[in-house]
Amino acid sequence: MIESATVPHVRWWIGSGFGALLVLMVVSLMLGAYVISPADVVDWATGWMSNASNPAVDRVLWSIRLPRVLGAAILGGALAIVGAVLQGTYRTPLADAHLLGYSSAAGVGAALGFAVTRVGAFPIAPVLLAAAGGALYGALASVFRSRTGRDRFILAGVAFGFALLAWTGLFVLIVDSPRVPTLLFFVFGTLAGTTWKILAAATIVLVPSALALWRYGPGIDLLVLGDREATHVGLDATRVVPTVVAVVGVAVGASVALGGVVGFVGLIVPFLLRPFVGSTLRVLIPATAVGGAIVVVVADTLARTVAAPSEIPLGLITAAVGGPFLAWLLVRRRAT
Amino acid sequence: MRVAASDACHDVGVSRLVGPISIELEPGSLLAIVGPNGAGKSTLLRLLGGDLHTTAGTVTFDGADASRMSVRDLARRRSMLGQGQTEDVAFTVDQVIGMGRYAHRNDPLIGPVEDRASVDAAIENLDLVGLENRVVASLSGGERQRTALARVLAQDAPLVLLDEPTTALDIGHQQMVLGIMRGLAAQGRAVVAVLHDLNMAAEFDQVVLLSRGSLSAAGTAEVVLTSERLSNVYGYPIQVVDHPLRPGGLVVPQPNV
Repeated sequence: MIESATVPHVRWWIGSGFGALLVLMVVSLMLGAYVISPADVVDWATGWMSNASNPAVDRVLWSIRLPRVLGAAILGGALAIVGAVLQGTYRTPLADAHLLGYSSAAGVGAALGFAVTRVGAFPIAPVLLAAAGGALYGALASVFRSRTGRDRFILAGVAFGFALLAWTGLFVLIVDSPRVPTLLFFVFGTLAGTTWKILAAATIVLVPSALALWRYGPGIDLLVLGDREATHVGLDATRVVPTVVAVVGVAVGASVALGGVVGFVGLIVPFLLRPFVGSTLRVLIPATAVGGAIVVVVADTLARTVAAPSEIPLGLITAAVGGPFLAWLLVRRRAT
Repeated sequence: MRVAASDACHDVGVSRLVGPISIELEPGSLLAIVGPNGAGKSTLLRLLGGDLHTTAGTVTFDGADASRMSVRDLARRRSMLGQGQTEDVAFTVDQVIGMGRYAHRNDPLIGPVEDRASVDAAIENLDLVGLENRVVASLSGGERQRTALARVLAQDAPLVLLDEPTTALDIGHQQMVLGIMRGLAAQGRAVVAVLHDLNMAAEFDQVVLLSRGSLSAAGTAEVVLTSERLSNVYGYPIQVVDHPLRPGGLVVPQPNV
């Protein structure tokens, strides 16, 4: 990681990554408890998303698979962007929405939101309440960011995360409503029940959040110099940092409402991509969006095929791979 | 740009860290701030840069109160080298130097055209050619220090404030940085550096000696750096002898045996 990649290389990486993502998404459409042949997918796609000859294929692809695969791509992109931004803001590759407790804070809001949403209603309440939970948590975290040492800050985030998860659990078990997802959703998320409605509700929040973070990118980059130095070159860190982490909280909230709490994607994807595209967020954000989408599309495909017709929670797969990766990252950093 | 501190003070609670201090800097000034540890050198530097607000008195840039300026307006008027650590920075030398241009962007999306020229000139000036695409974390301490200085240069501000700019540098690069500071002053900028090395300070046009937060002496090196005054302020016998090559004296501590 001595030489940084030049811009043409970066464009090539992101472009080919996006191509690979599209191919993987088409493959993912075919796989699951009900396997669909490539020919049927082509018929369905060329028939403007309908396959007159085979209504079962039509139903599975339109009502179940397509929102799920799109949800996986959007969820993965969001988690990876949020990870990259938090790592820039907190000046450590160990920052992550899941690890720092943002996801659990969003989970509290999401659980409340699901509880008050009537069956069949547009699920904007879980998205907005989860976003509010995440934003509030981010605002509180930014107060402690400059006062607490980096390692203590991360541990405090882990502790808060556990507490908030416990509160979510108590709420879910006490309310015991069929409208609220099971506790498993808030521990190891899943895209098993993704509908067009929840996908739309999450997307209308995620897209502006991602654009806002991309816009703040050059400012967040400056924080690597230290808050004081960033201020010297013209960034009002005391104003920008709380704004950025609040937007991060909003994005995390929408992602939790969409797919539950999925860890480690935001940690792994930026770490793997930095050697190829560099650390500049204007480049890292689009690159991690594509990378995160690929990771979650693949993970979700595994989640519904490995033990088909049973579902494995998505977060279980990302944690099974991501956990050891984090351990390796910690040991490796201590060594250098 | 004219910089004026008049009876500037910085208090934290009831304790006065610095002040009252009055200093005027004309374009082209080259000023060294020296003094023992804890004398308030860095605090004074940050007051002059509007980075810390005065709790009494004022710091003005061309008559305008620095403590009322936005972060961005300040960044266009003064650049500042602090003591921030950069050993784990995963950005390249070129990217870090480019960060100095942040306040000059009209829109964060697109920088003005002259950005590249300022960055390239700073790379050239600090002898960083060939290291542009290296990640800062992979550099030596001196190379990182020069990168930080280049970032300050690229900011292109009329007031340049440097906190110990030569500390991590070898004697050759120390002189190179001194030459750069002279060059900046010759361009009409005001340059202020906090220094520990009194012999480096002796090469500056003006020297300010701080002791316990207040001005002990100010003026040319010959006037300020005298054996008696330095021995008093530093609490250790110090002699200033004739320098074979320059008018300002050579500062030597009494041998410690």
